[in-house]
Amino acid sequence: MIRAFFSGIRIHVLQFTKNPFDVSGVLLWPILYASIAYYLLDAKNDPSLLLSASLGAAVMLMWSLVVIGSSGALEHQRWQGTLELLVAAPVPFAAVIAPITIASGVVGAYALLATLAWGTLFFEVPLAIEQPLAFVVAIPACVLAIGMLGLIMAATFVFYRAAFALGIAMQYPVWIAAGLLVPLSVLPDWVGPVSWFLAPTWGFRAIQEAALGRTPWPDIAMCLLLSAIYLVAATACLRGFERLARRNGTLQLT
Amino acid sequence: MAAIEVEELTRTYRSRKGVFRRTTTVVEALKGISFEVERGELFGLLGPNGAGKTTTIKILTTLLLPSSGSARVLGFDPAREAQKVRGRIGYVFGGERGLYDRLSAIHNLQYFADLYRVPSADKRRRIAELVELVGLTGRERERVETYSRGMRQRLHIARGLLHDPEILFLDEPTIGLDPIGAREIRETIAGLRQAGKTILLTTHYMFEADALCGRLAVIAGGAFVATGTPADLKAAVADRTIVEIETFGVPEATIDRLRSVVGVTRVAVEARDQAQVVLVQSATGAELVPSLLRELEGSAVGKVVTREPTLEDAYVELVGSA
Amino acid sequence: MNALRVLFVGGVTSYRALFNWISPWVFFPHMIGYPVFEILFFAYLGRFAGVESDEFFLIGNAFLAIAVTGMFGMGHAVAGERRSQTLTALLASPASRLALFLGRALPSILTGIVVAAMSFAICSLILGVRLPATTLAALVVVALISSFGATALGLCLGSLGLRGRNVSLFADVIAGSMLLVSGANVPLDRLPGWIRAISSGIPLTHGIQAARGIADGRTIGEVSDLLLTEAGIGAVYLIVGIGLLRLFEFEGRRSATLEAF
Repeated sequence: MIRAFFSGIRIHVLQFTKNPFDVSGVLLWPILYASIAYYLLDAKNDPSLLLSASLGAAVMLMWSLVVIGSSGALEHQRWQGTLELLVAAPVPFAAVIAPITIASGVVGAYALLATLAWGTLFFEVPLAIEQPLAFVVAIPACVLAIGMLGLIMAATFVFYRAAFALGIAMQYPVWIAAGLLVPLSVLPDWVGPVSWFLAPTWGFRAIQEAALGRTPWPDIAMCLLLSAIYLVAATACLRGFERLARRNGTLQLT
Repeated sequence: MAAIEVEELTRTYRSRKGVFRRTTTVVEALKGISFEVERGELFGLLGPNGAGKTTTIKILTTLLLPSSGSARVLGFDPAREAQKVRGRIGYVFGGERGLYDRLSAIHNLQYFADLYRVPSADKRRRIAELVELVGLTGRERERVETYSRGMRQRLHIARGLLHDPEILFLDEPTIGLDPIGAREIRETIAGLRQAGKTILLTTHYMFEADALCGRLAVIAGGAFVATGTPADLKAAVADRTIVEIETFGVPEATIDRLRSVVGVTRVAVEARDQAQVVLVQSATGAELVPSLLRELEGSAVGKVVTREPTLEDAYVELVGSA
Repeated sequence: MNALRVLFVGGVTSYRALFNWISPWVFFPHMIGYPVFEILFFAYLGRFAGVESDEFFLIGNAFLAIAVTGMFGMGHAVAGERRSQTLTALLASPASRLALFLGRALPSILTGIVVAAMSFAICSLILGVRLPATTLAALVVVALISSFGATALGLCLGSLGLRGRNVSLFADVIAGSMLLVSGANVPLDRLPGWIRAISSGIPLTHGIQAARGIADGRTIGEVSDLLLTEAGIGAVYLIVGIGLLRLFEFEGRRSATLEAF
């Protein structure tokens, strides 16, 4: 099962990156949002804010890729004719679908590098990572947590008639609630508790704290904890989906 | 214990249309079929589109739940013990879909090998063997999206065999293929049977069923109309003679006159390109050609062939009367 | 008279086609939900940065919503005609091409304004921005002008789409860049000179400035120069768009590729 899991991530990352247009289009967005943030935050004269903005924009993209990729994941596999084969595999269904949602996050991780490079080259964003070890651990922890939340979305959005639209609609709300570019301090108090349940909140915090030299390890731990919780929930949802699909005969296009 | 045991399997689909005035359509895809497939057998399900062949395979491969009845694959229930069944069977279906197009054949096979728990030590060797078996050597590193339909089909077969399953389910494996491609696939399937695999094959090509299957069942409208070996089924129409007359646009009235010739049991007309072929059935031995030609006087007539019935004739008879 | 009929009948047909694609399941999350949260996102970012006011971002992004809907609506209309193989038939008809395509554009313009108005209203409540009714009426006028410009830009993109394949990606990039370049979220004086040059040549920039002026209490007369510029830019894009359409149509007829993709 572990082998199937990593093999799946590799395959789906490959599948996504084979089209150069998709990849370059993807990189535009974090650069755009980061640039807007740079121009607005410039007057504050606080380089750490600019670095946070870079990292925040990258995690924003990671979330977008995962939520949009995941919302349509099962439908896409069905359309491609591979859903049946994935269900028919002797490996637990969750272990087959999780790599799809995580693969999107992996692609987003590449955007991290691009965004940091952009900021350093054109906006004098400082590229000092205070705790490199924690930073390097925080990134996959963030990818995992976001990917697992994506797995829940894949398992539930598939029941909505226009899953793709729902995925698109879930970008800004989570960007806001997770405090990715806009810190939670400016948001109404009630958003705080909501943010605790969102993977991007802790993923971003872990990366940010590692970069700025604060306390990333508790955030990394939260990422792992949330991943486990999400996995349990998603597995239950996927089992429900599989049972329903087998009952109604909807694993393939008629 | 037989490899596959099916008893009174049914499958009904319910679909609801409309928001205010709900109309429910009930489709009985399978109306209660029963059969067994022994180990090492190549069993065929032969029938027209919509007969229930794919439904049967999907139930046996755990992808569809039956409405009632029971099925056992290698002793396990595909509905309730799906995981036990999945690792032991291979499922191959015809058509363009079911592969990761942007990736190469090798990548696809590597992925499915991992999904099907092929031991790491064997993986590379197994993939190489299968690529050779299905004749994709030399093209295996190219993207699947560049493949022809026949090549995709062969890749599907390789994929189905990765984990060396005891039973193979082949759902219309030669559909849409050119004659040479189809023949190559059939040869591969025959080879697998000789290697001792149990195979359940669905098809709507009569000659394919005749050539490959040890036993077969003719299915139409969700129920079996006949089971047995190809020879058994042909025997059902063995007491007939078929006279094939090539004509060029004979009016219906003339066809009716042919029907009324003494000794004729059935007349059917098939269109073949520009010409028609009139198929006249009668009891064996009846010398009807002169009488038939007399009725056709005045019309253009091409070839006249008197022959034994084939499986196709048996099939048409069985399915037609279902 | 004939041109008016083409305007309305053409418009209705296109809208029905659009509706096959836009169902309520898509409309509410995508067309309403997305702009509402986009406005909130930037408004809060602005608060954090201490730049301008909620109203600044509210107007900027509401206008962006109009623009995006207009652009994509028009682009889809052109692509849709091509897909349903009616493009050659349309281009061959003697009806004034202008009337024809404005008819196609009307649904997008109206949808854009409805979407923007709804998002505006919802976010005003959330952010606590109050504007008098007369101001709102004036804003609608500005919105119509900007919408016209954005739709014209959509026509250009749609025409380009007749030639190339990845135009929808390109359109996406343009829509995204407008977040930055149109002055919707970053005050123009904070942008470097070369970006400001681009800003002044695209639809929306002047419309947003005019709208902000009106919200600040100016009359339409006082912002009329901005409105004229905005309308002028729209007209230029319209002419370019129709020209491109004619050019590709001619080329397409010459090399028989019009229906090829």
